[in-house]
Amino acid sequence: MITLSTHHFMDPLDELSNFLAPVKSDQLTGPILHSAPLLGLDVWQEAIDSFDVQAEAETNAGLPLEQQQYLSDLRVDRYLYDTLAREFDLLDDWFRKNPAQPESARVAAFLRRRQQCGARSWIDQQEKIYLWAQKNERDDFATSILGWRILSQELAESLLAWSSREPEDPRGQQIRLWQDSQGFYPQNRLRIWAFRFPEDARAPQIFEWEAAIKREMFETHPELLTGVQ
Amino acid sequence: MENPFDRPPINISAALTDGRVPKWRKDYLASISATTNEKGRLLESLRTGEDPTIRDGVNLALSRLLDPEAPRDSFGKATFLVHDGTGTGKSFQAILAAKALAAETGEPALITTRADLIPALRRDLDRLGLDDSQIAFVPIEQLGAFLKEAQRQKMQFSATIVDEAQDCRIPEVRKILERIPANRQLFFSATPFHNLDEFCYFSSKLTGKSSHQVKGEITAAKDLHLAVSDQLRQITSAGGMLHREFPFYGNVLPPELLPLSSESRAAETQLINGYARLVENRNFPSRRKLREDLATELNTASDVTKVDSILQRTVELLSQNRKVILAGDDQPVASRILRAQDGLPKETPGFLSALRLAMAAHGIECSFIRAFPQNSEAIPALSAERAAIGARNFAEMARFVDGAYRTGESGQRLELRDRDHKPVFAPSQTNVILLPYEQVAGWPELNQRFPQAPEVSMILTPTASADQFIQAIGRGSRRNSQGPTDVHLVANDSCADRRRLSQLLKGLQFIATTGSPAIAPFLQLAADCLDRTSIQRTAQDQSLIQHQKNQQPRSPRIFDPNRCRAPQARPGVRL
Repeated sequence: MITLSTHHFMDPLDELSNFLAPVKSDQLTGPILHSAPLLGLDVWQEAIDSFDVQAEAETNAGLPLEQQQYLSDLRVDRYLYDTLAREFDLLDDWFRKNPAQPESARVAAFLRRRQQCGARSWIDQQEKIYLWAQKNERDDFATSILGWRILSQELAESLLAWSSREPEDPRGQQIRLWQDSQGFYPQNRLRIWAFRFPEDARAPQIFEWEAAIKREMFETHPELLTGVQ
Repeated sequence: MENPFDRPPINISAALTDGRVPKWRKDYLASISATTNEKGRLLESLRTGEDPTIRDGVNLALSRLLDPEAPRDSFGKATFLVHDGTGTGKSFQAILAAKALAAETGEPALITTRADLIPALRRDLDRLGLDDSQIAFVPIEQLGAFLKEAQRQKMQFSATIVDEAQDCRIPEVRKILERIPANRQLFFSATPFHNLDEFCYFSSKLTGKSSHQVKGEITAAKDLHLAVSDQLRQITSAGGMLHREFPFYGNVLPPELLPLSSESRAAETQLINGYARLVENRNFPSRRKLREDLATELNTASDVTKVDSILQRTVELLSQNRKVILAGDDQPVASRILRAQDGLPKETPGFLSALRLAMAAHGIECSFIRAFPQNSEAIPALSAERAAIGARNFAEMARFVDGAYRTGESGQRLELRDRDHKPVFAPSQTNVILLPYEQVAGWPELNQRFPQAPEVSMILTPTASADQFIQAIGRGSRRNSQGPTDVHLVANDSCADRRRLSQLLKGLQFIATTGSPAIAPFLQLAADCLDRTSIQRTAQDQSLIQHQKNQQPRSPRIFDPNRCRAPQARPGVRL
């Protein structure tokens, strides 16, 4: 018979982490924009249906499994970005043709987010930033970069679990494209999700973390911005 | 000490279900015959010998997979899990199940595992006197490309057989396996699940329920471990899985508790308070990383205090003609809080590095395995650096391993064998190996395979990861070990050790839900160690408080009536 410990350990790190947990509430602060009724097509469902899981099978054959997963994660991130860009394009076109429709104001608000979305190259920039941070772990900015990834992992993991509990929620539809993975750089897919659903209580923190990182990068290590358009 | 490997492994499934594991009705092995008579003896002994492990495994798996009423996963596939421990004969079962399934269905079976393990599977195929007709061996790394070709050629397989199925934790592997044109899946793994998510993946497949439903049922239960154990019992009773395992071969000694000096305690407090101040002024992402950094600083600070005692223990063990495997962390730290005398950040070497230096100072040469850069297995840009470290590690490991070797034409290490085809014994160059926990998996060469060689002792420091801890134990005691292994756990009552032990205990408790007999002594060890460190810490803290009280100047007590006043009752409030 095994006697298990009766001594509960009070972890001092828990005190530090009490105020470090990401917001995980799925509450909405406003209505979600549904583009399918306006466009006559469901951009995200179409993207899910046409995503080719095996597209890079031959190219990656023989690579270690972990590398295949890494490359797949980045491909998914780019695909998510492209799908959001396509939805922006289609809604932009709709808006031009239907400026006086009741939904126009909300579509206009949605389209304004496009500028903040930034360039696709930010996805590929993550590797360079991460490797730099690993090599310079003592640098304050490296601490921010690595912490950003840990926080994003926690939030992405909770979003994946949430979406499996709420399969009918439109916010979970995009997460189906994540291919059951939180991503190696989860901040990539989180920001696409947040741009699409800024009304979700979990979205603002994703923007805040990224804004803090970009601000610090611009102030302390602008050389890392090279290649970001 | 009796060698447990001389007997069949323990049937955990039978113990879990009070003996109610379904019986197989048809002996599917009967239809398999060796291609040559001289190699047929091994196969015959597996079919008719005293040890029923392999025959039972294959027959129960096929009973389930060929049962039209068996539950199907969300992709319509019937599934069976062979959760057998190391050395129980999983490779033989995989090959024989493939042959039997092909014979029963007329369709070839697909066997997949990591590329470097395929040659060993093929060798086992040859040992059984079988050829590879009706079996497709596909490295799991090439499964995606193979699938494309299979779809083009409209191939159909009787089953996908996955060896080392713990690789299913990788989402990409799961995706490809779903798409293989086969209506059955047979999984083999000694460690299929380390956490709830991994358990839910297999449980979902084996019960036909959704992963979400499985998780919901477990998380809704009052006792998570009991809920997991119940699910395993149900799956096993329904004929979905089988679990056999050898007990640990060796002695688990009581944990060794080292004293922690008052200076170390003070430094610990200084670190925790310092990080609390540091965190206040930083952005949110940075704070999250600082939490990790504090844990690293505390771990290294705690471990470095153990170097002298562990060195002494190692010297004792070497003088008793034992070899020593030492597992711990190796994380050097330049403190964010503590300062050296020159005012610069205080630098502390990683624990294993410090130990290596201490041993060198005492004339003890040891093999030293370096940890890979974090996530270098995933990031292609780090492949070259990883490969270079891997090559050096292999050379270091080779110095610790007994046996005679030569280098082949293409540079590979070849074992020398005598006329009876037995490995030739030669003593190793070093008798101590230092293994960082991140690098502890694998290394089958470390197990002592020669009866004439020294026995192995393991010295372990606390780690938060139950998986790494058990992997470390496996470096000492495995199926081919020729002698028992002593295990020493060395800890102190630092905050870092109690934290790691607490997490280790939780992880071991999860793994122990499977009923594994090899886990039980380590669960007890971790629990004892945590208890004793907690008691020691409480006693130390109380002694410190008493000491501080005694040092405070005594003053005559002044009566304060306000402090003694009885609280007055308010209407509606019960006091």
